Amino acid sequence: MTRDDLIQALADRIDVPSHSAQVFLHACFDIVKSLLREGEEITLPELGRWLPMRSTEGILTGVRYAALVPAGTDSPIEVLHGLASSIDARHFIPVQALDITGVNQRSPVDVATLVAEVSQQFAPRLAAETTSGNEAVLDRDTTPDALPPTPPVIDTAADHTGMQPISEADLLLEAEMEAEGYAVEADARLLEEDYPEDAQDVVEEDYPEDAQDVVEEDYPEDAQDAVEEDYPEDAQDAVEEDYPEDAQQFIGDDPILAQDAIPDVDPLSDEEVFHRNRDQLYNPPDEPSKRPLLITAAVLTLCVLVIIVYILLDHSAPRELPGSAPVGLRSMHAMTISHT
Amino acid sequence: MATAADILHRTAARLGLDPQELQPYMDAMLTICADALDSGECVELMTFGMLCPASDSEAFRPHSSLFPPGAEQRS
Repeated sequence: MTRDDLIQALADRIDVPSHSAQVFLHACFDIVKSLLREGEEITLPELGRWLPMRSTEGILTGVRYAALVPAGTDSPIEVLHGLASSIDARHFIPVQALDITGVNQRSPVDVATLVAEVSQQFAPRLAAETTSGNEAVLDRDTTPDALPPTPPVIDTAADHTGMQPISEADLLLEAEMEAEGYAVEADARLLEEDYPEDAQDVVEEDYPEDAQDVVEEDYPEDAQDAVEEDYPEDAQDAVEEDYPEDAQQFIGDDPILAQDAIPDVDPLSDEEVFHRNRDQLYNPPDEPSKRPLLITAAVLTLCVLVIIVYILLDHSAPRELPGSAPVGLRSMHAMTISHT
Repeated sequence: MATAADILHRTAARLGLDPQELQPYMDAMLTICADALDSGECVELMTFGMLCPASDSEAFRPHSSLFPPGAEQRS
């Protein structure tokens, strides 16, 4: 719905001229923009909530938007079900963001911590689902000879640190996520940290190629096709557009939207007028000085006053040129007296 | 925090009207936008920005005029 559609819909809804609806909408959202620039939080029922982000100088630098949570809903975050492969592009964490560790100016949230929390949240359910789901797949698509051996219990540093050993489900899940292009680097880091060398060796020994073959056999083209179908170019473009350099800003529920200000693509819009007015708003032009005008007015006023005073104080007789008729009230008065 | 009532009163003051006269405008506008969002349609909120359904990855994209000159090009 474009702005013209909104104007027309409002005019039709309350049966008023479209011009009135247009004036109201422009004024209303100008007020909203002004309030946001002043640092006010905006809450519109049924639409959402806007939180301004201002710099230290008080200049609006970004806006966070959060949809209002309907009554009875605990969290605005949609609860995901299914395997990790069901995570869509909206919920995954870009790989570039994983390079940023620790809280800094570019990243208000420690991405590694976030990944660890998400992994812990998904791990139990996904492990159970993957285990139950992949057993049938393995029985159907592979021979017993191709099945990977049962992973041994890791009794190295992993056990001493209280971490759970690597299971078949975890490996399959990891391979699946890697095949679909999701960020698994964090998991790899966690694995490297939790199982520095021993676990890595065990994995390489026990699953040199079998696990990879299983993955390729079980998901030879389906997963790849699914990835290409679900994220052929849009997801990639979205990642490149959304996270060119500040990928870490897309953390949390509310993305920072300052860098994604949409251009005004409406050919009939008043973009130039808005930009000009906006430039004048932030950089008002210097007004011309009124001092010369005031001086000129004062001089002229003084001249008029001098003339008036001169006329009032002039008691001399009217001057009459020789050979000309007398003019003026005094001359007429003198002539009247002489006649009488 | 500014609510719809605050915005309505400020809008009425700017236009020199009674807030009660503009109340139908505000109610109808909110209803139209909510209906459009429920139907999965994005709504262009004049020069404020583009508001899309919550299922979209970017529910709200602000208009470039919202920020100071040059801020929209900030990376």
